[in-house]
Amino acid sequence: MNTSDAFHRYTKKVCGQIRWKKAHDIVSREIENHLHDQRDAYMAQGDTESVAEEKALLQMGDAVSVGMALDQTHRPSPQWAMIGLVMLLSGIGAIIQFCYYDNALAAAPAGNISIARFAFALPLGILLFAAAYFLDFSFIGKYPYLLPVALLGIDIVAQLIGVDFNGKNWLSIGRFAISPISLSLPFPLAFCGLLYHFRHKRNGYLLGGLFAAFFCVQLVCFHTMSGLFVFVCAAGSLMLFAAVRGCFPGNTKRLFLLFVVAGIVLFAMFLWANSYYAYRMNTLFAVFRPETDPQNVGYFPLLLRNIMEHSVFWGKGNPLEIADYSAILYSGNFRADFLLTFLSYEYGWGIAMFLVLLLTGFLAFGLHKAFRQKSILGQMVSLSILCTFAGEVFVYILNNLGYPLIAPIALPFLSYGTTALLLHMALAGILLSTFRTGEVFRDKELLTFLKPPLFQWDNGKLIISFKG
Amino acid sequence: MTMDKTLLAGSTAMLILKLLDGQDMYGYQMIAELAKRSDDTFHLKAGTLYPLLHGLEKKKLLESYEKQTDSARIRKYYRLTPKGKKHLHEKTEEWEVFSHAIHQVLKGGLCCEHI
Repeated sequence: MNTSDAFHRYTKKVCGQIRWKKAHDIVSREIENHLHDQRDAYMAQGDTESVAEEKALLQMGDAVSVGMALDQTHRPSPQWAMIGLVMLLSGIGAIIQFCYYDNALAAAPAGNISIARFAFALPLGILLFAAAYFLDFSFIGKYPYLLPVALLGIDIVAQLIGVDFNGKNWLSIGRFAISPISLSLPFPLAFCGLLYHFRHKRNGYLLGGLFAAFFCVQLVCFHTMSGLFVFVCAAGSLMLFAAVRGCFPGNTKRLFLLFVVAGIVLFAMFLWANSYYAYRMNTLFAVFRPETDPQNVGYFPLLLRNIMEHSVFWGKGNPLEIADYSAILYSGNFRADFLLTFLSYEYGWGIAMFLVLLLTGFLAFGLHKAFRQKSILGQMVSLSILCTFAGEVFVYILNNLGYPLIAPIALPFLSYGTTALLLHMALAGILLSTFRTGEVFRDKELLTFLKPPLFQWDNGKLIISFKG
Repeated sequence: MTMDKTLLAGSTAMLILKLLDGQDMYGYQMIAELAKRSDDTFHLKAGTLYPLLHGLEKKKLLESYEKQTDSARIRKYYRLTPKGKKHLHEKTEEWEVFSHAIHQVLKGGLCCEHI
């Protein structure tokens, strides 16, 4: 039996007492390192290797007691505060859905969102949230192509057998239809897995940029501008983060080149996407100067601002002078994309502000936890999900304040949409799974240092490590 | 002279925090440093140290990071957090009051009083 075998047996015995298996790796590594240090110190004092080993093990103490003490500390960190926030937001969302969305949006491919359908979607969303919460988030890094291929597959199938609605193909499954608008939500997470996979690779940043461009094309073709906007924000943040954390070999010139290339590609995408460019530019202009074309492109920004101007802090807003505005305000479609405007008028902007504060709290708390993650993967996964949520919230609020530059996707956990609800719950589950177990996850490059090489020359002896 | 281990039990965390005040250290280094600073009076068992370190980290009094050494070994270093610094300050003050009181009792209540 050689020294490392004895130490290995000791650490195995220690880990045998720790119920949380994910913690075994970091605990055994630290204890084995300590044993080696202690053995080396005894040997430096003149002990033989076997004596030094025995003394090191003795100094460490009883393996079972050590393991039991460590078991008290190493438990997954339940994210009760974040779970509470998600449940509170989903609960408020459910109340809003039950109160307002029955028999609305009948034009959607899967028909209207009836209470029965929503009553099925909500528990399914909670189940997805729970499943993702207990899932090992590292699958994003271990299987980087899984999510991108799945998203591409769904898009292709939707093109082949989907139902056309407002120029985009919806994939119907029974009474459900997968919204191509909401399906843009997992793209940042898919990109995160790929970017993590490419880190430390030669020209990894270029590969990342190429895949980002591919995702942009996919989003423009099969999804929406808002999906593209959210993705660009999240992907940009991830690339910047990866560069700052030293994930890409090279210097700042390369980093600069990366952003120039990415910027050119994205601008080209934007031009290409706007085949109806003149209309787009008119819309963009009208958002800032709606009074110049009040009956056409300026109509909606004026309507939204008018409703907000008539809202009060608490209670129902002042009567709207224009009858058309009132009719639009109470239509089902309006409440889907302009929930905050509707709530501001109907119940007071204090309520809308409260909901925005809850979402901001969720994002801020999440960001605080994201930067405390020990691994790059943990930080990247949480950052990609938080950026997705933040981008969505930003676009939604901008729209609701009367600046509809691009159509919103959804307001996380609160606004209408079965696909959005399910995806938000799944993404929130993965986010919380990262916070729950992230403290014991280590990036692969660190772990490769720990594995002994196959052949090792140590003090005149050739050591062959078959186990790796 | 052999020391009664129970005397040290309640103060180990404070000693560890003090060791890390100003310098990041790894487990073995802490044991060696503690022995050195106490003139070989305190010989902390590694089996006691690691659960304690992990517990302090969980309480956010310490934080850890891994660093590769010259021998290609990855070492886990610990450092004091601002919360840990505050905790150390409180515990040190508490200890001073406590040790002063003990000393006073042992000296028959006369040790530190001006006669």
